[in-house]
Amino acid sequence: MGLLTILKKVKQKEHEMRLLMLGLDNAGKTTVVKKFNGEDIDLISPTLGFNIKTLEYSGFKLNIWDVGGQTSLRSYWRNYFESTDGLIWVVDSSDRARLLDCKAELQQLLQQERLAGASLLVFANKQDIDGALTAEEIRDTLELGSIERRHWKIVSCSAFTGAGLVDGIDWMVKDIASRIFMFD
Amino acid sequence: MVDESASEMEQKKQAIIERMAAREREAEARKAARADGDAAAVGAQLRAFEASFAAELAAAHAALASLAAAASADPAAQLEAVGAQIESLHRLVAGAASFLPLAVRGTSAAKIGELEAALKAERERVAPKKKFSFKDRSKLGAGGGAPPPPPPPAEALVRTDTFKAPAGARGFRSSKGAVLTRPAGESVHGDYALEDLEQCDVRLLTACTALWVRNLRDCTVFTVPCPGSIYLTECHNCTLVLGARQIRMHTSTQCSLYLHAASHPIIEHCSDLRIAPYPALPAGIPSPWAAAGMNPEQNQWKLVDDFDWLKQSQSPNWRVMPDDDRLPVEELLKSLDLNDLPVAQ
Repeated sequence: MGLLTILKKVKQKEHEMRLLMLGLDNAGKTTVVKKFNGEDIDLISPTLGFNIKTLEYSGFKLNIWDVGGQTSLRSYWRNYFESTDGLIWVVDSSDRARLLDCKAELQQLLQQERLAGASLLVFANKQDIDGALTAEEIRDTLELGSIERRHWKIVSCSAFTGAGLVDGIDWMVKDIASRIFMFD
Repeated sequence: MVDESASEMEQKKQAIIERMAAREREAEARKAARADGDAAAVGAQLRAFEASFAAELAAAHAALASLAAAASADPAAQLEAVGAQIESLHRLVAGAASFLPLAVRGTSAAKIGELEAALKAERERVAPKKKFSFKDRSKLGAGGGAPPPPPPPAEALVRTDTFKAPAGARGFRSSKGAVLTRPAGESVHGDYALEDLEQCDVRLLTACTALWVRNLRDCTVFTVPCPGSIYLTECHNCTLVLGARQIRMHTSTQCSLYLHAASHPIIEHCSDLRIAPYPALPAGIPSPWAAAGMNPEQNQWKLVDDFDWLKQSQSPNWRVMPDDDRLPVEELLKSLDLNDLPVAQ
């Protein structure tokens, strides 16, 4: 318990949160971050490796780790698990063909001990595309309802238009804050 | 397939008949034992038990074996059935506990244990098999140049991992040796699919928001620039003239690509790709760039990211096509009637 207390105190002092953004390739992870940060999203390349974005949100410093989702990169995801406060799982709601891959990858992540304490935000992205699955359909397919002992929420969004991004991030930040900085 | 399942049915029927007969013998033996109540009857009981135990055990093993030979149409159901057989074996032993010699009980339990272990192994083998596809992996192995071995995943995942056009997308599918033209001026928005084409000449003169290309052999494809993404999977020995905001190519080999990409084109599990810039379109053709919201000067065709080559050095899976090898635009457009090209808006 001693180490955890120290960690909490350090974080409390800096008001920092570490968010890990994962999902299959082409889910729109980088676009989510860039759009949220008000950057141009026209010229985004598929992420080879990872991007780190630090931004301020309602008094907190968010360190967002946006890691590439290609099959070749997924085995490296584990390198980013350590001290993650929140996991943002981005789903391409229009990609029905790979929804089961998406589920398998997420379930494997949720079994990771090092992510056990992280809140989970699922972004049902690409809602601007015709025929995109709704957040409810994705919640059921990913079986989020069966998650126990973890704070989670699914939010539909479009990183292209920006709709829903603030709702999701806002929930995540408040949820983490209520867990970690509750004695402020 | 029909024959197999018929013979399988026949086998199952035989097994059931045998088991029923064995049970009947056992029941009769019990009746006899009750009537006599002497040592000989116990012997008969024991023989009856052994007979029906052996029959059930053989049936369960046979079912497992047919599973292992992949002869079953519905492995999950068959696994369930074997599980039920094991339970019934357990019940058989438990029911006979009063008269079974200790040694027989021990060997029976051991046999059931073996069966359970086999079932477990079979279940693990069958369960991932349903969705697993070896295609991608083998291509990865064969894909020239050894990629840096990533740390092994914690456990094998069930994954198909291939991009697919959304159901109902328009497109050209399952053709051989055809010239396929999507004329200019159709509604731009929406997905378009090219699937299962062989020796085809494809001309897409209307841009689409996403182009899904899958399983092409010995084809040439020309598309006017698309404002969205192009996803290519399983293209072999093709010449592809593509323009888009994002280009993603997977499990493809021996292709010549003439690209305009507004971001880094990416390849994964590919080999032997030759890459050149999108050709300047002949004079007289109205520029499709503005319509796609792209700038012909901002072409990142050369900045290919190979996800199997996470190093600074040049990936062995692709190379820039030497100038001399690049086909002139007239040749790339050879089957194209210039009248088909988009007219200025």
